[in-house]
This record gives sequence, structure tokens and C-alpha cells, in this order.
Amino acid sequence: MIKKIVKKKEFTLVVLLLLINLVLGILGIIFKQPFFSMSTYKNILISLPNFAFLSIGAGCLLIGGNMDLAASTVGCFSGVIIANLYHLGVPWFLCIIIALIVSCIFGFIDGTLVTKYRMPAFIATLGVSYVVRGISYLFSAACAGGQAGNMNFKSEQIQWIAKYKPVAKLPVIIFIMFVLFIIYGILISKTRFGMKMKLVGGNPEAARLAGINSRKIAMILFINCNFCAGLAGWYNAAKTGQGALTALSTAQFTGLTAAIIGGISFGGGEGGMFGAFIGLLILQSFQVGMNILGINPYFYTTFSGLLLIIALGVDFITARGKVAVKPKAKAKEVRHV
Amino acid sequence: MKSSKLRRLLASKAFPLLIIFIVLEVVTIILSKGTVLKPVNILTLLYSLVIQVMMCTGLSCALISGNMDLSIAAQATLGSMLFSMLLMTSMPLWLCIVIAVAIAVAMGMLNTLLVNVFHFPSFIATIGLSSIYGGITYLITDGYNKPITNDAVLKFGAAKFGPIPLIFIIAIVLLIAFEIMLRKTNFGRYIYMCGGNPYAARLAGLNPDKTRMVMFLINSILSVGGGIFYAAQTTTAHPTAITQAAPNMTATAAAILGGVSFFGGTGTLLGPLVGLFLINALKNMFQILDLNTYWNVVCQGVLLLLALFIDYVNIKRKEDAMVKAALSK
Repeated sequence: MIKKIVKKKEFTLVVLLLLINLVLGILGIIFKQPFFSMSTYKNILISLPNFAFLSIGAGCLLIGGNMDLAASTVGCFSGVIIANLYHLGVPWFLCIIIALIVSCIFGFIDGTLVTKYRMPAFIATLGVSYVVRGISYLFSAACAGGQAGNMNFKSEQIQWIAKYKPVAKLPVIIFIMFVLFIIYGILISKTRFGMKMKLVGGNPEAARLAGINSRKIAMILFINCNFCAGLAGWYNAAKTGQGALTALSTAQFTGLTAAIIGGISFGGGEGGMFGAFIGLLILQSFQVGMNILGINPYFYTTFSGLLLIIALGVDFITARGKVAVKPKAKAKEVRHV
Repeated sequence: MKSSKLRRLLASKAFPLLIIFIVLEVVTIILSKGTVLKPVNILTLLYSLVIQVMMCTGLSCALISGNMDLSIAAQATLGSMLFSMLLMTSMPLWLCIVIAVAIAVAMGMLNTLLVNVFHFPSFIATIGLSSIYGGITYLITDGYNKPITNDAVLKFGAAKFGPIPLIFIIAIVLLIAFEIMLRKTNFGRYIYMCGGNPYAARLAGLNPDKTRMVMFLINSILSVGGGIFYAAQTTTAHPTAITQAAPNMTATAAAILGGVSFFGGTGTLLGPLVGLFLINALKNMFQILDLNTYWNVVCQGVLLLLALFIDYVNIKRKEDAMVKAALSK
């Protein structure tokens, strides 16, 4: 039993997370900046949700063998829509619904480009991200009458997810996030749909021969990813009270990096939501830790790139390990014979 | 002989682009009542083309060989930054140039290492590296400009050959040289083979890994060179100017528009050049029409998607033809 747990990828990740926390804590003691404190962990928790939504979406897509680099931009656009429409006097629930529907439409566009026109996902979505960014500027300019800008707004209902704090002064969104992680986790590991997702990601040709409509699955995942991004944008706008034109712009690869660190294989077909969550925690404890230690924030840019490459490296090594183990096992069998 | 050449030109993928480009230019000239043709405007256009041509050359070569590099803008920024900082120390110019080339080679080797040894997908590895380079650029400069202090470099940036800037001529000459390499030399053929079918190329006794290394090195040197030219011309190395212009996207879109397949193995360098002209003409037209500059951002994305779509149509047509041929047998 214990051996089984220790062998799991997630176990390694948890150990890694603890180690990183320990190192940051010790560095905190050395530099006399307290890292081990309730406020630190609260900061980490509060910084999680918008990246969490992005990484749920990106993780599901990655398991299905695709990726979407436009998601963070779509999230930004969703925030811009909410703020500007609310400013124009549209009722609050319509603002949110319109923003989420628009996000889903962009997901549909991504999905069409990738599944129907067979474009490489990353470059097509990179193109889409430019289109979305441009459109969000144009939309903001049209709503504000001329010049595009960050739109401030104040609405109790829209900001409910960020401002309503039921337990321990934690916003309600954090509980929503945990629930979503659990739902998606169960969806991926326990249901037929999750099984299909993994099959499509791991070996699309085999999945097709097995009678799975891989296009449909990819399309659902693309729409889901952008829907989650829309949620992230909503939360971001609610938290800051602003539909900022550059919101989430640093998060283009955060979701992806978290998912890859969390053991979702870049080639698709493997991984789960628990890993993605731990991956996200690792990323965020680094960021918050660096903030507390007063390290130059530019380091974080460098660092997140480095982390992406390291995560890919680990992914590569484990993938090769699996291939390499097989011939050895065969050799043993031969010897026994 | 002559007619067959003409026919080949008419059938090439770049030809419709050329027509669109000419139409666009004529429209802009008419709309702007000739202001586009003012020497100042043309000069600005040529200057802005220099770095784009350099990057597009390198990237197209890499794409033809089946690789992708999204870190070229960050490489150019970091390279030009380090170069201007080296010039500030009292080092002789030749040493600075040698070091800059060495830096470019190092960055190219890093790409090669990640793709050849660790088998990372080249685009994601280069995206990771790109943010690393970006971070390093900020760390060494704190986000400030670094003015270029060397007179020789400044003179080089401002030099003109007749009415045309010297650096533009160099960029075009490099592009033509690489075009000749692709078309006429054995190595050029290897590039196409490795890009089209790396497995078959390996079985035929070629070394795709080595080809990839050379391609990445060429790409890095060209983009760092482009960055240095840009800095020399604008007299400062700027930490965000190059990345803000998003030459990654421009170069990729131009290359694919110009007939370089995203999946490697086909394309020339003159096609991407026409693609670049087209993109810049479009940009110019937006300015003249006084459209909102945000349209430009949308347009970049749309052009890239359009290019990909054309690529898809081409591949599909080829596939259909092959299926038809197989069936008729």
C-alpha cells in the first residue's frame, strides 16, 4: 500500500512542494523575512483561483492532446466585457452570461481551426490570441467612446465571488475552485468521458479506430478551456474592480506550466487534476515566496521559463524511463526461460 | 525556356501575394495622395524592414528544416542589449562583435540541446527560453535603454548606399545568399529532405540532428544580427522595442504566407520576403486610412490564421491528388 503511494507521481510532487516550502522558509529565516506564517499561506490561497481556472482548462486540453495559448487573452477579454457592459447599464447577470458565452465562442473557433482545418494547435491559438487582444481593445474603445482603457466598475453582485467571505475571511471563489478541481478530477479519472479524453490524447488514431469521435471530444475540451478562462477573467475583474486590458497577460503559460509540472504529459493521455493542483501550488509558493523575500520580480519571469523547461525535462525523462524499462523486463524474462 | 520560367513564376505560391501587394500599394498611394512615396516614408519602411527580413530569413530556413523558434525576438533583444553594454566598456569593436556572435551561438546551441538531446517540442522549448531571455534582459538592465556609444557602429547604422540604407542592402544580400544556398547546394537539399521527412532523410544517410543544429545557429546569429542592426540604426538598445513589434508573429506569418509549410520541407525565401512586404503594406494602409491602431493587432492574428489556412488547403490538395492517383492505378 505504502509502496504504491510512494511510487505515484503525485507523491513526488507533494514531497517537492514541501521541500520548496522548507527552502523558502529557511531562506526567510536567513533574510529575516518571515515566510512561515498564516498570512503567507493565505496569500498563496488567494492568488490561486484565476490561475486555477486556467490550469483546469489547460490541463484537460493537454490530457486530450491539445493546447490553447489564447485562453489567458480570452479571460482578459471576458473581464473587459463584464466591466464595460456593466458600465453601459446592462444588468449584472447578462454581463456575466454574455462574457462566458463569448469565451465559449472563441473556444469553438479554436476548436474548429484545430480539428477541422488541422492547424497546429499552438500556432493557431497564438494567432487567435492576437485577434482576441485586438478585439478587446476595439471593444473597449467602442464602449468608452474613442480611447481604449481600463474600465472601473462597482457591482455587489458581480463582485460577489471575490468579496463574499463566508469562512475564515476566505472569498467564496476558493471553495468554488476546490469543488471544481474535485469535479474535474472525478470526471477525468472515473468517468467514460475521462477515459475517452485520455485515449484521444494518448493515441488519436487508435481512439478513432475504436469508434471515438475525437474531433467532438477535442471541441468540447477547447470550449471548456475557454469557459474556464472566462471564469478566471470574471474573477480577476471582480477582485480588482476593473476590466483591465492587460489582465492575465502574464498567465499565458501559467496554466500550461502548472499542468506540465503536475505530471500531465505534454504528449497527452496522462495525468490528473490533483497533480495540476499541486503544480499550481508549487508555482504560486515560488511567486509569493519571492515576493516576501524581496527578490527582484524580473527573476520570476526568468524563473517561470526555467520551470517550464525543467517540467518538460522531467516529463521527457519519465516518458523515456517507461520505454527503457520494457526491454530490460523482456531481457529478464528471456533469462528465466 | 523563357516561357516555362514565366509559367513557373505564375504558378508559384508567392505570385498571388505579389499581385495583392501591388494592388494594396496602388490603393494606398491613391488614398494617401502620394505621401507614401515621399523619401522619408520609404526610408522609414526600409529601416523597419531590416530586422524583419533578417529574422524572416532565419526563421524560414528553420521552418523548412522542420523546426520552429519562437525565441528570436527575445534573442535579438538580449543580444543587442549585451552588445551595447560591451561597447560601453573599453573593449575594441572586433572583440565585441566576436562576443556577440559567441552569445548568439550559445543561444542557438541551447535551443539545439533542448530539441536534439531532450527531444522537447521545439516551439515550447523556445517559448520557455524566450521568457528566460526576457527575464535576463530585465535583470541586467533594470528596464532601461542602453545607448550605443561607439561611433563606428552608429556610422554603420546610418550609412547609406545611394538612397538605400546599407543595413537594408546587407539584409537583402543575406536573404539572397541563403536562397542560393537552399536552391543550389547539397546542404540546401538536405534541409528540404530533413524537413519533409526526417525519418527517410536519416535512412538516406543524412543527419537531421546536425542539420537542425546548423539551422538553429543560423537563426540565432541572424536574429541577434538583426537586433544589433536595429540598435545601431535607432542608436539605442531598447529592452522592449523589439518584442513589442512582435517580430515572431510577423516573421512566422510572412513565412507561411510566402509558401513555407509549417510542417517543413517546402518553401523558398523570396516568398516570405513578398509576405513581409504584404504585411507591411497592410500596416501602412491602416495608418493612412487613419483606422484605429488596434485593428493592426487583429490583422496580425488574422493574417497568421489566413496563412495557416492556405497551408492547410495546399496540403489537402496534395493529399487529394495522391489519393486520386492511387485510385486511378
